[in-house]
Amino acid sequence: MPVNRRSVLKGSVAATVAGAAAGLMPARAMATPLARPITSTGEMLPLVGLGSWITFNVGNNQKLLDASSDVMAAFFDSGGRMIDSSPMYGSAQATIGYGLKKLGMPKALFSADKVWTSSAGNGASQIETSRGNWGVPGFDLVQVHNLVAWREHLELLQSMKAAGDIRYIGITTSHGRRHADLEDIIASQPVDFVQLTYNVEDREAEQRLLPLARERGVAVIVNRPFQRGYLVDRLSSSPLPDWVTETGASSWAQFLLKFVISHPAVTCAIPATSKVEHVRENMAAASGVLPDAALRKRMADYVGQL
Amino acid sequence: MAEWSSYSLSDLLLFSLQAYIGLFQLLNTTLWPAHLFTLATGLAIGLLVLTRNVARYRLVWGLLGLSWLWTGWYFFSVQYTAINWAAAYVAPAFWLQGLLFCLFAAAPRCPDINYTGTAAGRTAMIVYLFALVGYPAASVALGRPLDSVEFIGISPDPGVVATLAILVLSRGGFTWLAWIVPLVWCALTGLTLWMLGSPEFFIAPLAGAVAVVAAVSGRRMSRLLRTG
Repeated sequence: MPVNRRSVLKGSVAATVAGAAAGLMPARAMATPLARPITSTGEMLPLVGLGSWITFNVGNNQKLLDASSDVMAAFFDSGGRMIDSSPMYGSAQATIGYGLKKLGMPKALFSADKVWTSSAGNGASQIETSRGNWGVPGFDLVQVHNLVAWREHLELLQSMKAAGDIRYIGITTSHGRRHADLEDIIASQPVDFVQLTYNVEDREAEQRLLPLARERGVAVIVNRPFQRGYLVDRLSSSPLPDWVTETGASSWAQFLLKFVISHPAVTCAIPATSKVEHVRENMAAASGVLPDAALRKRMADYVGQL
Repeated sequence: MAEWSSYSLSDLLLFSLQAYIGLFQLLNTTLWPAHLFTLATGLAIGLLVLTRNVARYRLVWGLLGLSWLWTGWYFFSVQYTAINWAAAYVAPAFWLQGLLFCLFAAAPRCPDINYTGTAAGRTAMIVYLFALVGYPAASVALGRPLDSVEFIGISPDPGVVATLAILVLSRGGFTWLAWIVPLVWCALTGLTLWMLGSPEFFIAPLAGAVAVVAAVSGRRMSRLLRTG
Protein backbone atom coordinates (compact mmCIF):
# COMPACT_ATOMS: atom_id res chain seq x y z
CA MET A 1 0.00 0.00 0.00
CA PRO A 2 1.47 3.36 -1.00
CA VAL A 3 2.02 5.89 1.78
CA ASN A 4 0.35 9.24 1.15
CA ARG A 5 -1.03 12.03 3.30
CA ARG A 6 -4.51 10.47 3.28
CA SER A 7 -3.29 7.09 4.48
CA VAL A 8 -1.09 8.74 7.12
CA LEU A 9 -4.10 10.75 8.34
CA LYS A 10 -6.20 7.60 8.37
CA GLY A 11 -3.39 5.91 10.26
CA SER A 12 -3.31 8.69 12.85
CA VAL A 13 -7.03 8.46 13.45
CA ALA A 14 -6.81 4.70 13.63
CA ALA A 15 -3.90 5.02 16.07
CA THR A 16 -5.91 7.31 18.30
CA VAL A 17 -8.90 5.00 18.30
CA ALA A 18 -6.85 1.82 18.65
CA GLY A 19 -4.56 3.50 21.19
CA ALA A 20 -7.41 4.55 23.43
CA ALA A 21 -8.66 0.98 23.37
CA ALA A 22 -5.24 -0.42 24.30
CA GLY A 23 -4.43 2.10 27.04
CA LEU A 24 -2.10 4.00 24.70
CA MET A 25 -2.19 7.76 24.83
CA PRO A 26 -0.12 10.55 23.33
CA ALA A 27 2.56 11.40 25.91
CA ARG A 28 2.04 15.18 25.80
CA ALA A 29 0.46 17.85 23.69
CA MET A 30 3.47 19.25 21.71
CA ALA A 31 5.29 16.12 20.53
CA THR A 32 3.05 13.12 20.79
CA PRO A 33 4.78 9.76 20.93
CA LEU A 34 2.44 7.01 22.00
CA ALA A 35 2.72 6.18 25.67
CA ARG A 36 1.68 3.47 28.09
CA PRO A 37 1.06 3.75 31.81
CA ILE A 38 3.52 2.53 34.42
CA THR A 39 1.18 -0.01 35.93
CA SER A 40 1.99 0.68 39.58
CA THR A 41 1.06 4.38 39.37
CA GLY A 42 -0.62 5.07 36.04
CA GLU A 43 2.08 7.63 35.10
CA MET A 44 2.38 7.75 31.31
CA LEU A 45 5.69 6.90 29.69
CA PRO A 46 6.43 7.26 25.95
CA LEU A 47 6.96 3.90 24.31
CA VAL A 48 10.46 4.82 23.14
CA GLY A 49 13.20 5.94 25.49
CA LEU A 50 16.93 6.44 25.14
CA GLY A 51 19.63 3.95 26.14
CA SER A 52 23.22 4.98 26.78
CA TRP A 53 25.24 1.75 26.52
CA ILE A 54 28.38 2.46 24.44
CA THR A 55 26.95 5.48 22.61
CA PHE A 56 27.26 7.92 25.53
CA ASN A 57 30.55 6.51 26.84
CA VAL A 58 32.66 9.25 25.22
CA GLY A 59 34.99 10.17 28.07
CA ASN A 60 36.09 13.79 28.26
CA ASN A 61 36.08 14.50 24.52
CA GLN A 62 34.27 17.83 24.20
CA LYS A 63 33.14 17.27 20.61
CA LEU A 64 31.57 13.92 21.46
CA LEU A 65 30.03 15.29 24.65
CA ASP A 66 28.33 18.03 22.61
CA ALA A 67 27.22 15.49 20.00
CA SER A 68 25.65 13.41 22.79
CA SER A 69 23.80 16.41 24.19
CA ASP A 70 22.49 17.11 20.67
CA VAL A 71 21.06 13.59 20.67
CA MET A 72 19.43 14.24 24.03
CA ALA A 73 18.01 17.56 22.78
CA ALA A 74 16.45 15.82 19.78
CA PHE A 75 15.11 13.12 22.08
CA PHE A 76 13.32 15.60 24.34
CA ASP A 77 12.14 17.65 21.33
CA SER A 78 10.50 14.49 20.02
CA GLY A 79 8.63 13.99 23.28
CA GLY A 80 11.02 11.48 24.85
CA ARG A 81 11.24 10.99 28.60
CA MET A 82 13.14 7.93 29.81
CA ILE A 83 16.93 7.92 29.65
CA ASP A 84 18.56 4.78 31.01
CA SER A 85 22.13 4.30 32.18
CA SER A 86 24.32 2.35 34.58
CA PRO A 87 27.56 2.73 36.52
CA MET A 88 28.81 -0.04 34.25
CA TYR A 89 28.61 2.17 31.16
CA GLY A 90 31.90 4.04 31.59
CA SER A 91 31.37 7.80 31.33
CA ALA A 92 27.76 7.54 30.08
CA GLN A 93 26.29 8.90 33.32
CA ALA A 94 28.58 11.94 33.25
CA THR A 95 27.73 12.49 29.57
CA ILE A 96 24.03 12.47 30.44
CA GLY A 97 24.73 14.89 33.27
CA TYR A 98 26.57 17.18 30.87
CA GLY A 99 23.70 17.07 28.39
CA LEU A 100 21.02 17.64 31.02
CA LYS A 101 22.86 20.67 32.38
CA LYS A 102 23.34 22.06 28.88
CA LEU A 103 19.64 21.56 28.12
CA GLY A 104 18.55 23.22 31.37
CA MET A 105 17.44 20.00 33.04
CA PRO A 106 14.36 19.20 30.90
CA LYS A 107 11.27 18.68 33.05
CA ALA A 108 10.14 15.73 30.94
CA LEU A 109 13.14 13.65 32.03
CA PHE A 110 12.42 10.26 33.52
CA SER A 111 15.80 9.23 34.95
CA ALA A 112 16.50 5.52 35.08
CA ASP A 113 19.78 4.18 36.41
CA LYS A 114 21.07 1.02 38.04
CA VAL A 115 22.99 -0.29 40.98
CA TRP A 116 25.81 -2.58 39.88
CA THR A 117 28.10 -3.85 42.58
CA SER A 118 28.54 -7.27 44.10
CA SER A 119 29.09 -5.63 47.47
CA ALA A 120 25.74 -4.95 49.10
CA GLY A 121 27.34 -2.37 51.38
CA ASN A 122 28.47 -0.24 48.42
CA GLY A 123 25.03 0.04 46.81
CA ALA A 124 23.93 3.28 48.48
CA SER A 125 27.20 5.10 47.82
CA GLN A 126 27.23 3.93 44.21
CA ILE A 127 23.70 5.25 43.66
CA GLU A 128 24.74 8.56 45.21
CA THR A 129 27.77 8.77 42.91
CA SER A 130 25.52 8.02 39.92
CA ARG A 131 23.07 10.71 41.02
CA GLY A 132 25.94 13.19 41.23
CA ASN A 133 27.07 12.24 37.72
CA TRP A 134 23.59 12.91 36.36
CA GLY A 135 23.22 16.09 38.41
CA VAL A 136 19.63 15.26 39.31
CA PRO A 137 18.07 15.67 42.76
CA GLY A 138 17.01 12.02 42.71
CA PHE A 139 16.36 9.18 40.30
CA ASP A 140 12.91 8.30 39.09
CA LEU A 141 13.89 4.66 38.76
CA VAL A 142 16.80 2.61 40.10
CA GLN A 143 17.19 -0.96 38.93
CA VAL A 144 19.38 -3.83 40.09
CA HIS A 145 21.73 -4.34 37.15
CA ASN A 146 21.92 -7.89 35.77
CA LEU A 147 20.59 -9.35 39.03
CA VAL A 148 23.92 -8.65 40.77
CA ALA A 149 23.42 -9.11 44.54
CA TRP A 150 19.74 -8.60 43.85
CA ARG A 151 18.32 -9.60 47.22
CA GLU A 152 20.45 -7.10 49.14
CA HIS A 153 20.05 -4.33 46.56
CA LEU A 154 16.28 -4.75 46.26
CA GLU A 155 16.04 -4.37 50.02
CA LEU A 156 18.05 -1.13 49.78
CA LEU A 157 15.94 0.16 46.88
CA GLN A 158 12.73 -0.60 48.75
CA SER A 159 13.92 1.42 51.73
CA MET A 160 14.99 4.29 49.42
CA LYS A 161 11.58 4.23 47.76
CA ALA A 162 9.84 4.24 51.14
CA ALA A 163 11.95 7.23 52.15
CA GLY A 164 10.99 9.06 48.94
CA ASP A 165 14.55 9.11 47.56
CA ILE A 166 13.51 7.23 44.42
CA ARG A 167 10.11 6.78 42.83
CA TYR A 168 10.33 3.35 41.27
CA ILE A 169 12.45 0.24 41.64
CA GLY A 170 13.28 -2.45 39.16
CA ILE A 171 15.61 -5.23 38.09
CA THR A 172 17.36 -5.92 34.80
CA THR A 173 18.85 -8.63 32.69
CA SER A 174 19.97 -8.72 29.07
CA HIS A 175 20.84 -11.15 26.29
CA GLY A 176 18.22 -13.57 27.63
CA ARG A 177 20.26 -14.44 30.71
CA ARG A 178 18.79 -15.79 33.97
CA HIS A 179 15.19 -15.65 32.82
CA ALA A 180 14.17 -18.28 35.37
CA ASP A 181 15.52 -16.15 38.22
CA LEU A 182 13.85 -13.08 36.75
CA GLU A 183 10.56 -14.94 36.60
CA ASP A 184 10.83 -15.80 40.30
CA ILE A 185 11.61 -12.18 41.14
CA ILE A 186 8.69 -10.78 39.13
CA ALA A 187 6.41 -13.30 40.82
CA SER A 188 7.63 -12.72 44.35
CA GLN A 189 9.13 -9.23 44.71
CA PRO A 190 7.39 -5.83 44.74
CA VAL A 191 9.19 -4.34 41.72
CA ASP A 192 7.71 -1.59 39.54
CA PHE A 193 9.88 -2.32 36.50
CA VAL A 194 11.68 -5.19 34.88
CA GLN A 195 14.18 -4.67 32.07
CA LEU A 196 15.01 -7.42 29.61
CA THR A 197 16.11 -8.11 26.06
CA TYR A 198 13.35 -8.50 23.53
CA ASN A 199 13.39 -8.06 19.77
CA VAL A 200 12.06 -9.67 16.64
CA GLU A 201 14.69 -12.42 16.88
CA ASP A 202 15.11 -12.78 20.66
CA ARG A 203 11.55 -13.63 21.62
CA GLU A 204 11.95 -15.99 24.58
CA ALA A 205 10.46 -13.32 26.87
CA GLU A 206 7.11 -13.76 25.08
CA GLN A 207 6.73 -17.23 26.58
CA ARG A 208 6.62 -16.45 30.30
CA LEU A 209 8.19 -13.15 31.34
CA LEU A 210 6.05 -10.69 29.38
CA PRO A 211 2.72 -12.37 30.27
CA LEU A 212 3.80 -12.64 33.91
CA ALA A 213 4.87 -8.97 34.05
CA ARG A 214 1.50 -7.98 32.65
CA GLU A 215 -0.33 -10.18 35.10
CA ARG A 216 1.69 -8.81 38.05
CA GLY A 217 1.38 -5.18 36.94
CA VAL A 218 5.11 -4.77 36.36
CA ALA A 219 6.21 -2.27 33.71
CA VAL A 220 8.64 -3.65 31.12
CA ILE A 221 11.67 -1.84 29.68
CA VAL A 222 13.15 -3.50 26.61
CA ASN A 223 16.88 -3.32 25.91
CA ARG A 224 18.70 -4.37 22.72
CA PRO A 225 15.69 -3.85 20.41
CA PHE A 226 18.18 -3.79 17.50
CA GLN A 227 20.63 -6.31 19.00
CA ARG A 228 23.05 -3.37 19.33
CA GLY A 229 22.55 -2.39 15.68
CA TYR A 230 23.26 -5.87 14.33
CA LEU A 231 19.64 -6.44 13.26
CA VAL A 232 19.41 -3.12 11.40
CA ASP A 233 22.71 -3.82 9.64
CA ARG A 234 21.66 -7.33 8.69
CA LEU A 235 18.23 -6.37 7.44
CA SER A 236 19.27 -3.22 5.61
CA SER A 237 20.20 -5.21 2.51
CA SER A 238 16.63 -6.56 2.28
CA PRO A 239 13.60 -4.58 1.12
CA LEU A 240 11.24 -3.19 3.76
CA PRO A 241 7.92 -4.92 3.05
CA ASP A 242 5.17 -2.71 1.60
CA TRP A 243 2.57 -3.96 4.06
CA VAL A 244 4.42 -2.55 7.06
CA THR A 245 4.22 1.03 5.77
CA GLU A 246 0.54 0.94 6.84
CA THR A 247 1.85 1.34 10.37
CA GLY A 248 3.87 4.40 9.45
CA ALA A 249 7.19 2.54 9.59
CA SER A 250 9.47 3.81 6.86
CA SER A 251 12.75 2.13 7.87
CA TRP A 252 14.01 -1.13 9.31
CA ALA A 253 14.74 0.60 12.62
CA GLN A 254 11.10 1.65 12.87
CA PHE A 255 9.94 -1.80 11.78
CA LEU A 256 11.98 -3.38 14.57
CA LEU A 257 10.91 -0.86 17.20
CA LYS A 258 7.25 -1.11 16.27
CA PHE A 259 7.47 -4.86 16.67
CA VAL A 260 8.86 -4.47 20.20
CA ILE A 261 6.61 -1.69 21.49
CA SER A 262 3.46 -3.21 20.03
CA HIS A 263 3.66 -6.05 22.52
CA PRO A 264 1.00 -5.08 25.07
CA ALA A 265 3.26 -5.87 28.05
CA VAL A 266 6.04 -3.53 26.89
CA THR A 267 6.13 -0.10 28.50
CA CYS A 268 9.23 1.37 26.89
CA ALA A 269 12.04 0.31 24.53
CA ILE A 270 15.40 2.00 25.00
CA PRO A 271 17.47 1.98 21.80
CA ALA A 272 20.83 3.75 22.13
CA THR A 273 22.23 5.98 19.43
CA SER A 274 24.88 8.63 18.91
CA LYS A 275 23.11 10.22 15.94
CA VAL A 276 20.42 12.91 16.01
CA GLU A 277 18.71 11.56 12.88
CA HIS A 278 18.51 8.11 14.44
CA VAL A 279 16.94 9.31 17.69
CA ARG A 280 14.30 11.17 15.68
CA GLU A 281 13.68 8.08 13.58
CA ASN A 282 13.40 5.96 16.73
CA MET A 283 10.97 8.36 18.39
CA ALA A 284 8.84 8.43 15.25
CA ALA A 285 8.33 4.68 15.67
CA ALA A 286 6.12 5.55 18.66
CA SER A 287 3.58 7.21 16.39
CA GLY A 288 1.19 6.08 13.69
CA VAL A 289 -0.28 2.61 14.07
CA LEU A 290 1.12 -0.16 16.20
CA PRO A 291 0.93 -3.62 14.64
CA ASP A 292 -1.76 -5.94 15.94
CA ALA A 293 -1.12 -9.59 16.80
CA ALA A 294 -1.61 -10.76 13.20
CA LEU A 295 0.75 -8.15 11.80
CA ARG A 296 3.31 -8.86 14.51
CA LYS A 297 3.31 -12.51 13.49
CA ARG A 298 3.74 -11.53 9.87
CA MET A 299 6.66 -9.26 10.82
CA ALA A 300 8.41 -12.00 12.80
CA ASP A 301 7.83 -14.55 10.02
CA TYR A 302 9.16 -12.15 7.41
CA VAL A 303 12.37 -11.44 9.35
CA GLY A 304 12.72 -15.16 10.04
CA GLN A 305 12.76 -15.84 6.29
CA LEU A 306 15.46 -13.27 5.54
CA MET B 1 29.80 -20.66 33.44
CA ALA B 2 26.80 -21.03 31.14
CA GLU B 3 26.07 -17.33 31.63
CA TRP B 4 29.57 -16.27 30.59
CA SER B 5 29.35 -18.41 27.47
CA SER B 6 26.34 -16.34 26.39
CA TYR B 7 28.55 -13.24 26.07
CA SER B 8 30.27 -12.54 22.79
CA LEU B 9 33.59 -10.68 22.82
CA SER B 10 31.92 -7.57 21.43
CA ASP B 11 29.52 -7.58 24.39
CA LEU B 12 32.49 -6.86 26.63
CA LEU B 13 33.33 -3.64 24.77
CA LEU B 14 32.10 -0.54 26.55
CA PHE B 15 32.88 2.04 23.89
CA SER B 16 32.72 2.74 20.18
CA LEU B 17 35.57 3.23 17.71
CA GLN B 18 34.56 6.89 17.61
CA ALA B 19 35.04 7.21 21.38
CA TYR B 20 38.35 5.30 21.20
CA ILE B 21 39.68 7.62 18.51
CA GLY B 22 38.33 10.57 20.50
CA LEU B 23 40.44 9.38 23.44
CA PHE B 24 43.65 9.78 21.41
CA GLN B 25 42.52 13.11 20.00
CA LEU B 26 42.09 14.37 23.53
CA LEU B 27 45.39 12.81 24.60
CA ASN B 28 47.28 14.45 21.72
CA THR B 29 45.64 17.83 22.27
CA THR B 30 46.34 17.73 25.99
CA LEU B 31 49.97 16.64 25.76
CA TRP B 32 51.16 18.52 22.67
CA PRO B 33 54.07 19.47 22.25
CA ALA B 34 55.33 16.66 24.52
CA HIS B 35 55.34 14.52 21.36
CA LEU B 36 58.50 16.28 20.21
CA PHE B 37 60.22 15.38 23.48
CA THR B 38 59.08 11.75 23.43
CA LEU B 39 60.08 11.33 19.78
CA ALA B 40 63.51 12.82 20.49
CA THR B 41 63.89 10.55 23.53
CA GLY B 42 62.84 7.58 21.43
CA LEU B 43 65.41 8.47 18.82
CA ALA B 44 68.08 8.85 21.50
CA ILE B 45 67.25 5.40 22.91
CA GLY B 46 67.57 3.98 19.39
CA LEU B 47 71.06 5.45 19.10
CA LEU B 48 72.05 4.30 22.60
CA VAL B 49 71.20 0.66 21.84
CA LEU B 50 73.64 0.77 18.94
CA THR B 51 76.51 1.45 21.34
CA ARG B 52 78.29 -1.07 23.58
CA ASN B 53 78.43 0.48 26.99
CA VAL B 54 76.92 -0.79 30.24
CA ALA B 55 76.25 2.72 31.53
CA ARG B 56 74.25 3.43 28.40
CA TYR B 57 72.32 0.16 28.74
CA ARG B 58 71.35 1.30 32.22
CA LEU B 59 70.14 4.57 30.77
CA VAL B 60 68.05 2.73 28.16
CA TRP B 61 66.44 0.43 30.76
CA GLY B 62 65.82 3.41 33.02
CA LEU B 63 64.16 5.47 30.27
CA LEU B 64 62.07 2.48 29.24
CA GLY B 65 61.04 2.00 32.87
CA LEU B 66 59.98 5.62 33.23
CA SER B 67 58.08 5.44 29.95
CA TRP B 68 56.09 2.40 31.14
CA LEU B 69 55.40 3.97 34.54
CA TRP B 70 54.20 7.18 32.85
CA THR B 71 51.97 5.30 30.40
CA GLY B 72 50.54 3.18 33.20
CA TRP B 73 49.64 6.29 35.16
CA TYR B 74 48.61 8.89 32.62
CA PHE B 75 47.16 6.82 29.80
CA PHE B 76 45.51 4.05 31.80
CA SER B 77 44.69 5.61 35.16
CA VAL B 78 43.83 9.12 33.99
CA GLN B 79 42.63 8.98 30.37
CA TYR B 80 41.59 5.51 29.23
CA THR B 81 39.72 4.78 32.44
CA ALA B 82 37.23 7.52 31.45
CA ILE B 83 35.74 5.22 28.81
CA ASN B 84 36.93 1.84 30.05
CA TRP B 85 36.83 1.14 33.77
CA ALA B 86 38.84 -2.04 33.11
CA ALA B 87 41.83 0.19 32.24
CA ALA B 88 42.36 0.68 35.96
CA TYR B 89 43.16 -3.03 36.18
CA VAL B 90 45.66 -2.86 33.29
CA ALA B 91 47.59 0.06 34.79
CA PRO B 92 49.32 -2.08 37.48
CA ALA B 93 50.72 -4.37 34.77
CA PHE B 94 52.37 -1.34 33.15
CA TRP B 95 53.67 -0.17 36.52
CA LEU B 96 55.17 -3.61 37.20
CA GLN B 97 56.78 -3.61 33.78
CA GLY B 98 58.18 -0.14 34.46
CA LEU B 99 59.54 -1.24 37.83
CA LEU B 100 61.13 -4.31 36.22
CA PHE B 101 62.99 -2.10 33.74
CA CYS B 102 64.07 0.21 36.58
CA LEU B 103 65.40 -2.88 38.36
CA PHE B 104 67.30 -3.85 35.20
CA ALA B 105 68.82 -0.36 35.19
CA ALA B 106 69.88 -0.59 38.81
CA ALA B 107 70.94 -4.26 38.92
CA PRO B 108 74.64 -5.02 39.51
CA ARG B 109 74.52 -7.27 36.45
CA CYS B 110 72.58 -5.03 34.10
CA PRO B 111 71.16 -7.01 31.17
CA ASP B 112 73.05 -6.37 27.91
CA ILE B 113 71.48 -4.73 24.91
CA ASN B 114 73.56 -6.17 22.16
CA TYR B 115 73.16 -4.98 18.57
CA THR B 116 75.27 -7.22 16.35
CA GLY B 117 74.15 -6.44 12.82
CA THR B 118 72.71 -9.94 12.39
CA ALA B 119 69.37 -10.50 10.68
CA ALA B 120 67.69 -10.57 14.09
CA GLY B 121 69.43 -7.36 15.10
CA ARG B 122 68.51 -5.58 11.88
CA THR B 123 64.92 -6.76 12.22
CA ALA B 124 64.83 -5.40 15.76
CA MET B 125 66.04 -2.00 14.60
CA ILE B 126 63.48 -1.94 11.79
CA VAL B 127 60.74 -2.75 14.32
CA TYR B 128 62.09 -0.02 16.57
CA LEU B 129 62.08 2.56 13.76
CA PHE B 130 58.58 1.43 12.84
CA ALA B 131 57.46 2.11 16.41
CA LEU B 132 58.93 5.61 16.19
CA VAL B 133 57.62 6.78 12.82
CA GLY B 134 56.01 3.88 10.98
CA TYR B 135 53.26 3.34 13.53
CA PRO B 136 51.72 6.81 13.20
CA ALA B 137 52.21 6.74 9.43
CA ALA B 138 50.53 3.34 9.07
CA SER B 139 47.59 4.53 11.17
CA VAL B 140 47.04 7.55 8.93
CA ALA B 141 47.38 5.35 5.84
CA LEU B 142 44.66 3.09 7.27
CA GLY B 143 42.29 5.99 7.76
CA ARG B 144 42.93 7.24 11.29
CA PRO B 145 42.48 11.02 11.58
CA LEU B 146 45.84 12.76 11.84
CA ASP B 147 45.06 14.33 15.22
CA SER B 148 44.38 10.92 16.77
CA VAL B 149 47.48 8.95 15.75
CA GLU B 150 49.48 7.26 18.46
CA PHE B 151 53.02 8.35 19.28
CA ILE B 152 55.75 6.71 21.30
CA GLY B 153 55.73 7.90 24.89
CA ILE B 154 52.24 9.33 24.52
CA SER B 155 50.15 6.24 23.74
CA PRO B 156 50.96 2.68 24.79
CA ASP B 157 51.07 0.77 21.49
CA PRO B 158 54.14 2.33 19.80
CA GLY B 159 56.02 2.21 23.11
CA VAL B 160 55.19 -1.45 23.58
CA VAL B 161 56.39 -2.29 20.06
CA ALA B 162 59.60 -0.30 20.64
CA THR B 163 60.13 -2.20 23.91
CA LEU B 164 59.81 -5.54 22.12
CA ALA B 165 62.42 -4.42 19.59
CA ILE B 166 64.86 -3.66 22.42
CA LEU B 167 64.08 -6.98 24.11
CA VAL B 168 65.08 -8.78 20.90
CA LEU B 169 68.55 -7.30 21.41
CA SER B 170 68.72 -7.98 25.15
CA ARG B 171 70.57 -10.76 26.91
CA GLY B 172 70.90 -11.96 30.50
CA GLY B 173 69.15 -11.34 33.76
CA PHE B 174 65.45 -11.87 33.75
CA THR B 175 64.84 -10.32 30.34
CA TRP B 176 62.53 -13.23 29.42
CA LEU B 177 60.21 -11.95 32.12
CA ALA B 178 59.98 -8.60 30.36
CA TRP B 179 58.37 -10.17 27.27
CA ILE B 180 55.14 -11.18 28.98
CA VAL B 181 53.31 -7.87 29.48
CA PRO B 182 54.24 -6.37 26.07
CA LEU B 183 53.12 -9.49 24.20
CA VAL B 184 49.88 -9.74 26.16
CA TRP B 185 49.26 -6.07 25.45
CA CYS B 186 49.89 -6.55 21.70
CA ALA B 187 47.24 -9.27 21.69
CA LEU B 188 44.84 -7.21 23.79
CA THR B 189 45.13 -4.02 21.76
CA GLY B 190 44.79 -5.99 18.52
CA LEU B 191 41.67 -7.69 19.85
CA THR B 192 40.21 -4.37 20.98
CA LEU B 193 40.76 -2.72 17.60
CA TRP B 194 39.43 -5.77 15.79
CA MET B 195 36.23 -5.76 17.87
CA LEU B 196 35.88 -2.04 17.21
CA GLY B 197 36.14 -2.71 13.48
CA SER B 198 39.38 -0.75 13.06
CA PRO B 199 41.59 -1.72 10.11
CA GLU B 200 44.65 -1.13 12.35
CA PHE B 201 43.92 -4.21 14.42
CA PHE B 202 46.79 -6.26 12.99
CA ILE B 203 49.65 -3.79 13.51
CA ALA B 204 50.65 -4.43 17.13
CA PRO B 205 50.12 -8.23 17.02
CA LEU B 206 52.13 -8.43 13.78
CA ALA B 207 54.93 -6.31 15.25
CA GLY B 208 54.88 -8.53 18.35
CA ALA B 209 55.06 -11.68 16.22
CA VAL B 210 57.97 -10.28 14.19
CA ALA B 211 59.82 -9.47 17.42
CA VAL B 212 59.27 -12.99 18.78
CA VAL B 213 60.47 -14.61 15.54
CA ALA B 214 63.52 -12.33 15.46
CA ALA B 215 64.35 -13.10 19.10
CA VAL B 216 63.96 -16.87 18.68
CA SER B 217 65.92 -17.02 15.42
CA GLY B 218 68.61 -14.73 16.85
CA ARG B 219 69.12 -16.90 19.91
CA ARG B 220 69.15 -20.10 17.83
CA MET B 221 71.75 -18.58 15.50
CA SER B 222 73.97 -17.49 18.37
CA ARG B 223 73.71 -20.98 19.92
CA LEU B 224 74.70 -22.53 16.60
CA LEU B 225 77.64 -20.16 16.29
CA ARG B 226 78.79 -21.05 19.83
CA THR B 227 78.48 -24.82 19.34
CA GLY B 228 79.80 -24.74 15.77
